Amino acid sequence: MENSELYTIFPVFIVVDVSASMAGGPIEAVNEALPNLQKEMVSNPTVGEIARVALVTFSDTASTVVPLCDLAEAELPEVMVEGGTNFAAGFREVRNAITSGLGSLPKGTPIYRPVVFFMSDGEHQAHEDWIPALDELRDRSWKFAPVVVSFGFGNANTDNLRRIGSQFAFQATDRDPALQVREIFNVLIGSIRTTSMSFRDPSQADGLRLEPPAEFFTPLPPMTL
Amino acid sequence: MSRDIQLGLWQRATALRKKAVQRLSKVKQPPTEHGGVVPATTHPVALPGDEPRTAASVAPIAEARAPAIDVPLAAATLVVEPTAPADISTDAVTAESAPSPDAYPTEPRSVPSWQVVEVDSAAPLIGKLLGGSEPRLGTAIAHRTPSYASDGVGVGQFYVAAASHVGLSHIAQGTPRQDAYNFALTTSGRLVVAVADGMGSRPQSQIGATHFCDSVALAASTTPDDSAAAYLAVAAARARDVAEVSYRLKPDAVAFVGAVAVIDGDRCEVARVGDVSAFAIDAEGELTELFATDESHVNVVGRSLPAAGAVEPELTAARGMRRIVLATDGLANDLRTSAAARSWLGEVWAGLPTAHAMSNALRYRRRGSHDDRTAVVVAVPEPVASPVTGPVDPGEAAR
Repeated sequence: MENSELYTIFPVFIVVDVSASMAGGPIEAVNEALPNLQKEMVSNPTVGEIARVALVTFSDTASTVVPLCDLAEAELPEVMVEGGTNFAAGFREVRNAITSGLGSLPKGTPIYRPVVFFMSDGEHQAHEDWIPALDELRDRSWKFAPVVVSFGFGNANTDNLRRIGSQFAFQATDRDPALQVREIFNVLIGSIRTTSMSFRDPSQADGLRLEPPAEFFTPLPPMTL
Repeated sequence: MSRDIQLGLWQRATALRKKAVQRLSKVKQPPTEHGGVVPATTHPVALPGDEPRTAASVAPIAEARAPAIDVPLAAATLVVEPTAPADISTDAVTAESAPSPDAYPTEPRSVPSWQVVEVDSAAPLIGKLLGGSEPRLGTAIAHRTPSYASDGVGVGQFYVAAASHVGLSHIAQGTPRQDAYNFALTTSGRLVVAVADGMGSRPQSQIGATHFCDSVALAASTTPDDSAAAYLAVAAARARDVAEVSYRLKPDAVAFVGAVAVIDGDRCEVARVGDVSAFAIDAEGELTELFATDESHVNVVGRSLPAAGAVEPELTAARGMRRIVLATDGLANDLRTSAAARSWLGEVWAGLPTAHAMSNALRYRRRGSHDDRTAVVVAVPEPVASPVTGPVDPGEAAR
């Protein structure tokens, strides 16, 4: 029996494309949505006491802008647009963020299965292949292997979204990227809330209880590998 | 009660209602100064030919109103579908102007803020806590269970203290407690205890959990010498049957995890399916979990009941312990991961808590601990052998 206090944690990783095409409405919508997510953490004890959130951005390179933390106590950065689009960099960075965020927890800490919310408005542009980095992230033999939920808008490729999402993938149907980003964060907040407030579900082996988008998005069938 | 008889009763009730309305419409309304109708609240209207109501005259109506308790709810709903149930209270006539049930709003028009009264508790607050939610039941909760239950009672040579509390998560959602427990003394003097935890994603899983525990008690009363695994299998099957026959629900809709303990003197065997667990407390107050700790993710579970095929529960046993504790994971998780919760509960369970004391024990508030909490603590007779715990052959434990 543990002689200290090990609190239950639901780790959520938000991976945001900050390539140049996100400039304007989409990146502004991201910066507006983050405080709303923080507000949910503060106001809802069944979410705020469990959910831990990290924010990873990627363009040509990737960085962990907010490490896994209690978002209620975090100082939110302003997310800025950068250069091109390299999915592989994003996948590697979020895997590192998961490893450092969960690997440092005391042994025996009760952990929900991690969730990665991936959002992009374009296609991979770097020379390197992004599939190996994705496979490493989703490797089921890894004890922290997350559920990956992908959202695409703008010029995102449908097949890539289906490949990235381990269980859920969504393609935008509306033309306003700012609206789409807001809807993605609505899904994200709703899913964190519902999953935090639920306990074990044998029919959903991956544990996530997704609140699907109400509008602007079409669910895509997962790609069978 | 057959459907034909029910239909007849409802038709009769509907006819009585129509008759009352017709009589009301024949009443000559006294004119007011403005030529309108005097409100009934200021000038009660007497109905011509209306006899004073007596118990005898009301009885047939009451009979018509009584729901058929031996008929599945779904069947009763089919019977009343053609017409809305008549208002057959003794105020049926004056209730005629009330809106039909369909016209009622699904949410209260205004939600008052209650000034509730709480009693003090020494139960600890553990970790950094955010504010709690005000208890408020959601709409259209068809199968509500009491939010809290507790016991403190001598049962044969055992003393049993038990409590089950609705979790903060359910309180926030306005949904009912889905944990359940029950226990029974067999004619051979063994104590049989059951706990169950309904799946949170199934709104009616409390039906499965409750009927499972009740069915264990029923089985113990009729077959006093079965094993824990046998009681579990029989009760799971009965819970499935009740869900299908009485509630018209598929087994998956009432999915739950559960455990059964059979305690015979100072010997105990436990069978479980899912992440409910069992603990033993020795003479020094040391708490030992009888099952291996499940290290999978908190929100992922592999097995549940009612199972589609044969039930193959995990088995364990203990001997010579002072207390045996069966707990759902909302409490078991705190016992494993919180020194403060373990210390508090251990202090209470060292004695023989009353029902109120046992309920109070579960009132601690801990960061991130939002699931329903249920524990059944059995004080066993003075041990006659050295303490032994662990996964052993249940047949060996029973000898």
